[in-house]
Amino acid sequence: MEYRATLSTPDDLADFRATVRAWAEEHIPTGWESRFGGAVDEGFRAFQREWLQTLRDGGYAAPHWAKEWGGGGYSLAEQIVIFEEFSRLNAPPLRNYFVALNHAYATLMHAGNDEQRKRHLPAILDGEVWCQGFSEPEAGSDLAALRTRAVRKGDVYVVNGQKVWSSRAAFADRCLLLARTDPDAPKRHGISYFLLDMTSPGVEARTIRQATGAAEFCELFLTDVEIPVIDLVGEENDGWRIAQSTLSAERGLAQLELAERMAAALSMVEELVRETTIDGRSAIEDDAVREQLVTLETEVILFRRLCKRMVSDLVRRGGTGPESSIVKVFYSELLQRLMAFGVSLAGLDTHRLTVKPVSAGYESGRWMLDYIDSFAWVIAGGTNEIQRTLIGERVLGLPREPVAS
Amino acid sequence: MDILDTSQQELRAELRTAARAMLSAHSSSAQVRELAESAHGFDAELWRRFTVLGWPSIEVGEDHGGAGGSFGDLAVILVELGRHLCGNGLMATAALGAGPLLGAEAGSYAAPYLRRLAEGDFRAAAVVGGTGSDHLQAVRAGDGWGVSGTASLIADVAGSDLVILPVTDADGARLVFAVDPTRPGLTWVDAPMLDITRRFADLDARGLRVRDTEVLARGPAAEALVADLLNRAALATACDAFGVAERALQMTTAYAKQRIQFGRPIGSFQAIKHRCADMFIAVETARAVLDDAIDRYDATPATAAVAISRAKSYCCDAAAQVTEDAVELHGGIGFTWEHDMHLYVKRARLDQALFGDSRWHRRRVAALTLTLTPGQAAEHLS
Repeated sequence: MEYRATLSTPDDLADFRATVRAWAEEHIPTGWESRFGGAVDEGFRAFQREWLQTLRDGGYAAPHWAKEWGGGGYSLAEQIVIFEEFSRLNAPPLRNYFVALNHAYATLMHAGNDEQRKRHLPAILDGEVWCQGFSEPEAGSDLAALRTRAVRKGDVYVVNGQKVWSSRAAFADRCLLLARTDPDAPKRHGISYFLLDMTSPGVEARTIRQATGAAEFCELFLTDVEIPVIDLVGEENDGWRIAQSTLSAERGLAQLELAERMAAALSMVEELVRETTIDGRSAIEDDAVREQLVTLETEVILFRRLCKRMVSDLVRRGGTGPESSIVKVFYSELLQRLMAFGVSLAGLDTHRLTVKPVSAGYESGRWMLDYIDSFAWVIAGGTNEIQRTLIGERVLGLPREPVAS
Repeated sequence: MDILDTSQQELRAELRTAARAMLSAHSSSAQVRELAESAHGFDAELWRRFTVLGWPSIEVGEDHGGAGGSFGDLAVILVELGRHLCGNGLMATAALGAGPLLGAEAGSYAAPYLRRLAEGDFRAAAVVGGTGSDHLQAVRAGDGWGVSGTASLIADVAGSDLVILPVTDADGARLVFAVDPTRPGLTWVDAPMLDITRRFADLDARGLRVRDTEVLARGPAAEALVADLLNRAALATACDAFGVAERALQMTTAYAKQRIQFGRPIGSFQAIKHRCADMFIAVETARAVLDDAIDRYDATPATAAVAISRAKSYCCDAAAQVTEDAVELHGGIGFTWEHDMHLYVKRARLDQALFGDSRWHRRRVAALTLTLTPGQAAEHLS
């Protein structure tokens, strides 16, 4: 079953689409979804490296990057075409390079200097894995309360502290690190932004086993780690502002991919409904189940439309409207509803012990594990409660809560 | 709608601004309440303003003197009607009555009505049917038909120049008539509603005679007109509900910024703020499903039923939830007659029930997409 649809794009992109499609049909691998185990092992990393290299040879590793930095330099409309053609053939997402290609690039372009761009952007295309060192055990939703300290000593900053939820830190080459440089300033004004070399002495990463049983994210211990001053991004103590731009890199075309994968998952859900038996009949004949399925389908359809409008705003205004702030909340809660619906139909069998391959994504058809995995989205990148506060204050203009001093 | 085509979006934004300005000035809630208290419930001056702006005939082709617009243009106005709690015959004429006239075959007897619609001094209403609630039977009598039966809650029929009547003959075949509602044999009984912002009447038809020349369509053509009329009614109601929700959210956030308790605006409390955020999410997601249905209807009306039913159920459910939250967040004042919020709650709930309720529309989507053979649903979703 095919739930995917094409975003409308101008006809003059037809030639471009044909070129992309031809390349995609020749190069996109198949059968990769279930090939790997539940951990980020060497096999999966090698697969990701090869796929990055293949994409780079084709000119598709970083379609959104400027040409002068080795990117595709494609217009947004062209990026949409690439995205559509790739997702049509279920191309593997560049999971290990997500932070490098999106957050690191956005940060360096927005706040870095040319030397930093020259040093890091080519290395990223060569396959450097980057991670994020933002959250801390005592600074989750209240990120600005972070306590990792960076003290300037000559040409280096000496860093001590602990980070957590840093996906892929165990094998990352570089880390986007937030640390406090002025403990006396108001908490948002004393933070700086660094590019940490993960091979520096004093850096220790330990994997954390997630609720799904898989281990992708890590905690990071930093003990007298020296970061050269040249790896400071922007001005000292300007890190909070810079981090906002890094986080905004999570929005944009990446959302379109989520929407399309979710639409594809609908066919899986429908298949489950058809296979499930209630009182000797297929659940597809049960009125209550049919209504629930229709409601979920409607929500997925409108979510795609929301994403489409966000892209349209990007094209028209170069920025996004209120959609971008609700996309994360709506997507994550819809994903939960979708997976909970799957669990409700899949009966006892979905509770049998199984492992979900790290490559399988959020919609693997292992309903109970997919359901557990879906919680990542309501928490990561700012919990949905934080998002609701942002919507209330930044979109609706409601007054801020008085901050306890 | 091409996502990269901005000219249409800009035109509609201008239309929205103009509609909002006019309705704010001439259909304020005070004026709506005054009209509700009046016997006739119709503001002729406001209607004249509609016609000056070309709204009743916005979809009528330029060859008949209309604006040559699409439903998407009308939708902009319908949303504003919801926002301003406005009735006054516009939805009944432009969205309902005009539908079968626009859909009737070229050269049929609908043409003069389309011209009158464009000239302005003409209002139409319609029995919508199609959801199984109304039963009008036609029996062949001489060179015409005898009609009997009942229909409930017909919008804005009082004072209309024409009413559309879908009927079924003895063989179960469909016909669509268009007659003067004051014709002998049609008894309209005013139906006062808890939603005081709109006017409805129940129909008792007994011994109505309709000539063959007053048949707008019969057979498959009539089936198509009836199906289209239901789709237009459902989509127009989704627009109305969306406007209601959008306005209720706006009023609530404004109140949350201004109402002080515990020494600070209540909107600074997370409990209130997050509830407002959820109302906002409901409104924006409703906008997305509504836009999708409007675009599909304008592209290919005959295949838009699924998208329209999705929009009808989702938008009306969202409006019901948002207005419910809005009353609570307003506190005691929101529960008074003096405050407008109850008008929005009642309008939202009536929208939810009109022209097939949410359950009916979800089941229609299920019937059209969830066949027992897999694979047939895809075309409705792509």
